[in-house]
Amino acid sequence: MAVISGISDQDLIVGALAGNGEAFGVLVERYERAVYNLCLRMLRNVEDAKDATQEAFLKAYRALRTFKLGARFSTWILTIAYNASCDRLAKRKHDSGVELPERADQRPGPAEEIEREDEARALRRAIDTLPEKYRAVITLYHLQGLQYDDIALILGLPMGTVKTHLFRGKELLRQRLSSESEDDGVCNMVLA
Amino acid sequence: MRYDDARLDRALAALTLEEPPPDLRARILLATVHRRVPVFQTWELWMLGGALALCAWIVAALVAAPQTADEAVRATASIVGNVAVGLLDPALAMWVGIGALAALAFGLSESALAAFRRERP
Repeated sequence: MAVISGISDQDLIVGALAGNGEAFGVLVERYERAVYNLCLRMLRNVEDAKDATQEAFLKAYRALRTFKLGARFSTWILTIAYNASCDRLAKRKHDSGVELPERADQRPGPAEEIEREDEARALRRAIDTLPEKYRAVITLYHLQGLQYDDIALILGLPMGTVKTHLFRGKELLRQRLSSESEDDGVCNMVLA
Repeated sequence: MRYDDARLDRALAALTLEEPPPDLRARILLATVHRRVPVFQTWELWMLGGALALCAWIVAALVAAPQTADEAVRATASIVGNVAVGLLDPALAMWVGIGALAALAFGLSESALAAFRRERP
């Protein structure tokens, strides 16, 4: 796999279409993390995120012949993953009536990283409380480092809407983090 | 503590992607490239089973009543003869020919269209 790890996505897709399983394996290796993180932020549950990630790659594998060479594989696979996550969210809402605020990521980091991790954990928790449209945009823009036009393609939204969602999402995030910090301050005062 | 723009941007920039669970890649590969494709599809198994059952029924019927074999041969010959006579009718042969040519032309145009769509960037 190391031999073909420097090959472009396009060549890997051509290889996978020719029946080279190793080529598709390299694509999975390249995009597994991005896809998993998008699903995790959308679904807020590790098991569901794993299932949605697997579903996205399975759909991509089956539909590889329909992929337009020249387009970006990253955008394509993230679009599939986003749609798979939305389907699961819709099913979850349909089954339970509400979107479950489940969160399985509660593992503490090593002791020396706790302070830095605390802020990251608070930020992830705050992102998870955002409505899904803002969650998706913030994850794709800030965590995945994608450009507005790619995000617009993935989410199927106009670029102006993406920018608006990003602005409003950050505003909400700022409010929630600020109120959380104030709550922590009150708790500390009470404990003191 | 107030989160201003700069602090939020710094915090978001420092946020890293989480590592996927270690078994995820193996799960994906098992469901895609390492998936074992069955030798026969379900519908093929049904067709095969149906054909075998039909053959067994015919053999059983022939063994039970040998005189039916002669009748079956005569009936088959009669059907084939009638069809052959029908096809010799010029009007029928012409319409069959037109139908076959139309199907061929439609199939070729569909293939050409699909190839054109694939080649477009």
